[in-house]
Amino acid sequence: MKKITFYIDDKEITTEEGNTILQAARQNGIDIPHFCYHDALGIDGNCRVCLVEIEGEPKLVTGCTRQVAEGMKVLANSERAKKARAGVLEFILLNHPLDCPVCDKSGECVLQDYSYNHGYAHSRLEFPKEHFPVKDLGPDIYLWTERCIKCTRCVRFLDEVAGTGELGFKKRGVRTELDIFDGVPVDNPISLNIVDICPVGALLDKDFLYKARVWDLKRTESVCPVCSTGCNIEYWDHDNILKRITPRPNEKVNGHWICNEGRRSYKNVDSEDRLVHHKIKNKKASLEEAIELLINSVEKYAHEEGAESIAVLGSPFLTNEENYLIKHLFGDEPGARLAVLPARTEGEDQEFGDGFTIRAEKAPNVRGARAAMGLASTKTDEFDRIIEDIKKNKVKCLIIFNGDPDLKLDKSVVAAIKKVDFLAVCEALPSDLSRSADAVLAGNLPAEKDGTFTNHAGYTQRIRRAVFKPLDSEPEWKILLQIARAWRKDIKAKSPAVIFDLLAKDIKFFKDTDYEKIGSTGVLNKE
Amino acid sequence: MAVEFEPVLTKYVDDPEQAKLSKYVERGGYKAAEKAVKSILPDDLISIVKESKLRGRGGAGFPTGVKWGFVPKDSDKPVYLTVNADESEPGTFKDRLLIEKDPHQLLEGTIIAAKAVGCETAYIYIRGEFYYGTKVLQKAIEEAYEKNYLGKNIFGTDMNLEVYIHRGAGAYICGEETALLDSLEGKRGYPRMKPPFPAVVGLYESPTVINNVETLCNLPHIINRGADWFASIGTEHSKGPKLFAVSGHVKKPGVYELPMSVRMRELIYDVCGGMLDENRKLKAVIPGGSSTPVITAKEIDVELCFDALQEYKTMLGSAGVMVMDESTCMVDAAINITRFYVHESCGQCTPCREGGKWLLRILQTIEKGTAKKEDIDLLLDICENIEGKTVCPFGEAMVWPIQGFVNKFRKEFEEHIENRGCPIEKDRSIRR
Repeated sequence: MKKITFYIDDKEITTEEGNTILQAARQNGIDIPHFCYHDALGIDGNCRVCLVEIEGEPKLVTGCTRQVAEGMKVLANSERAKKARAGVLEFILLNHPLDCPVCDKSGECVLQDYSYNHGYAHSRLEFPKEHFPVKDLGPDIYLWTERCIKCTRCVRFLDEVAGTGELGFKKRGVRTELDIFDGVPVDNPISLNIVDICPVGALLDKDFLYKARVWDLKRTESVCPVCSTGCNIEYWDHDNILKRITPRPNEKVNGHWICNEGRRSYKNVDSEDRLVHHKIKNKKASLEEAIELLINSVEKYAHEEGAESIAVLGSPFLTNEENYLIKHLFGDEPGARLAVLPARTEGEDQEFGDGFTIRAEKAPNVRGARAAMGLASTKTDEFDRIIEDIKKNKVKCLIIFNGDPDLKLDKSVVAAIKKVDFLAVCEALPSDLSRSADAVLAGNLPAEKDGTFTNHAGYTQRIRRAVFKPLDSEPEWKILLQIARAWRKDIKAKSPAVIFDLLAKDIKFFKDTDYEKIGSTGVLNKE
Repeated sequence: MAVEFEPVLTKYVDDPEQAKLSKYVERGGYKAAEKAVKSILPDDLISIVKESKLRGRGGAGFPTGVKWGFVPKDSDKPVYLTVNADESEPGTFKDRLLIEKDPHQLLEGTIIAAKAVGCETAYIYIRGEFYYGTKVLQKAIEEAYEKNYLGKNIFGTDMNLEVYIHRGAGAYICGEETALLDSLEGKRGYPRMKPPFPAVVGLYESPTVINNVETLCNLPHIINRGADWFASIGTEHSKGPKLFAVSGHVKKPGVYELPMSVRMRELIYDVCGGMLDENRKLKAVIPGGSSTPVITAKEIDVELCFDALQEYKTMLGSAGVMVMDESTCMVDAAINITRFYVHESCGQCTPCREGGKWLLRILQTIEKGTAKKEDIDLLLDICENIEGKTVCPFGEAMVWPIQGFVNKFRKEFEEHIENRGCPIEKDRSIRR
């Protein structure tokens, strides 16, 4: 690719040929205000706020549409450019209701930021503003029509990415208004991304509406636990209560988007059904008591029936570190049989316009879980064979670490599992299994723990604890470390970071991966 | 009459028979098209038109031959020709006459242009309100198909040309060439970003030439009589016959065909018979359709060509001349024009969409007498924030008339504010 050198306000910039002024500025940390431009959408040039002067040219040009040329001198902060920018911001605010005190976008609104940095402090308009109604656009989204600045980001997203094209403009001039076509709501699996890319508070998520002021929220980088794409997300919580999930851009994984299901995946964290106490025979017990029963049972069956009679199941919903500990504690010695719970598949992969994909495989760590447990990625019938051997009464002691908040196994499989002599289940939300288990350990959901997931393509990414565990429940890695201590196993680890180091030394798939270097966007691991 | 000129384009518009193919052919019609299709190479056609110095009659005055030359020769996509018959600039009604009275002249021009740019499909985008014109044109197209002037292997050559009429739905902006293309594609009429220009990426992302009706009507005459003949008419940079649509306070409003060396004074007093009411003085003239800035009565010795009008900070535009006598309030005129542009703003880009109504409101308070003195400067400042900041030239179309009225009649604006009302004695009999 040919390189071009040009200047923005005397700063020399080298960029690839074909880039626009705005793209080159963004790559070099220069902020030229823009509303309609979005890295992941087609260029439209309608908002006009990125107007800049080019030395030797009579007219100002929009930075988002003009491609850079060798030696071009861009004056982004000349008096003419500054006046034009302030003028456009004044036009945008003319009919904007300025209802920031009650607007959900307030605090993360680009229009607020640009007006603060580049706009006028007072309004010169002495006439009434245009008024428009609030509209219900469908199951998930409201449109505050008056706040809309007509940047068409949402329209382009629905046309170019979702491919559904539900939104368009009606009427013209100052009466132009965004709307759906009669009777056809905005209803597609990735529709809520238009709320994120809306630069103002025009498009709002019904779920988050009036729930919180964004400046009160703490955000935590993590990875979506819904499917094996492993979309990068941010959890937003207020005083330990999750309020919403938004996407975090990662070109290698999810681009800029997440699906609606992923966005709602925080709901089960605050579910009333959560397991908050450990149990023995359906009676509340301490973690120590439950672990003691578990260890005693494992040792009893190992001694009396042989290690072949014990099976331990990991989960594609648990982190690499947790699945590795399961292997290390139960597989290496006493040599119990290992398998990973199967991940559900729903329909087929759904690929959208820019390659963003909702995967049919509904678990975040299918690849990582198998690798961490030392299981081959190709031969995958360990689980089925264990179930067969339960039916044949060969497996008598079964320990299930079920990370899946919504575990759905075949009835015949559940019936078989209930036949075992000793059943221990560790999970966060009660499944059919825990109700008939001898010991139940209350585990945690991904939002409550640190660790790593490895997505379908082999990207190992960090998940981070956003909120604290409820009551007695513990993250699985902690429970597993406690089992290790009670069992006098020699594991010198106190955190997921250290467990990962052990894993990276032990398992070829993760060889030489440095936990600290995984960072925000992950590293690629290969077979 | 001091101005003598034998009409070229409008020579037969008074004969109702001229719309018939038989009459048109009897008067030498389709000879130029046949010659061009059979025996002139496309590059030679482009050269002839370049030599004639024909400039586009739609408003911008871009040299037609140069525009044709931008069409890439090696494109693997079809080349489209689009006839811009969406004549919607207030005060302009010249194309309508050509369409309704002499449709075959337009079709012949279309065939010649199609040959020059290598086009096999032409669309005539006609203003929706021109219902009668559409009917006339459709009839003419059918006649031309029957004679094999249109269709497959026209004039017995290997050239094909299909011509379709597409009616607009009433939006002014669809006369802007790229919005026209969007509309033709079935989309909402929004002007496109340029570059790329339509000659490279136009209709259905293919090379497209868009020519005004009057521009195309000149082509048969250039082929028949030669580029030199054409270039001998008019001023140095404004060649050939030009249609002027005159309206307002004159005795004989109408469409007049003249060389562009004609002066505004001659047009008003000699051609159009002078002021409607001779007791009232001429006050102002809009020279080129409602979007062009006004000139004052003192400036009417200007030649009506592309260059001379620029010296008076205005332009020839679509040559829609609107004459106003002293009973016309300049603020009122500005309101009237601005109201139109506010209504017609497409709403795509910010300055024009939001700024227009603000301008209108301020003008209305000036007319009512409730404005402050600073409001005149505010008006100009808003105009400056719109001018040159929009996707398409509509922004200029909106603010140029206002800037024209304020700059040339600022005193009258100030009087409105000082008097707390309109100081002009208006002629109520012709008000809407």
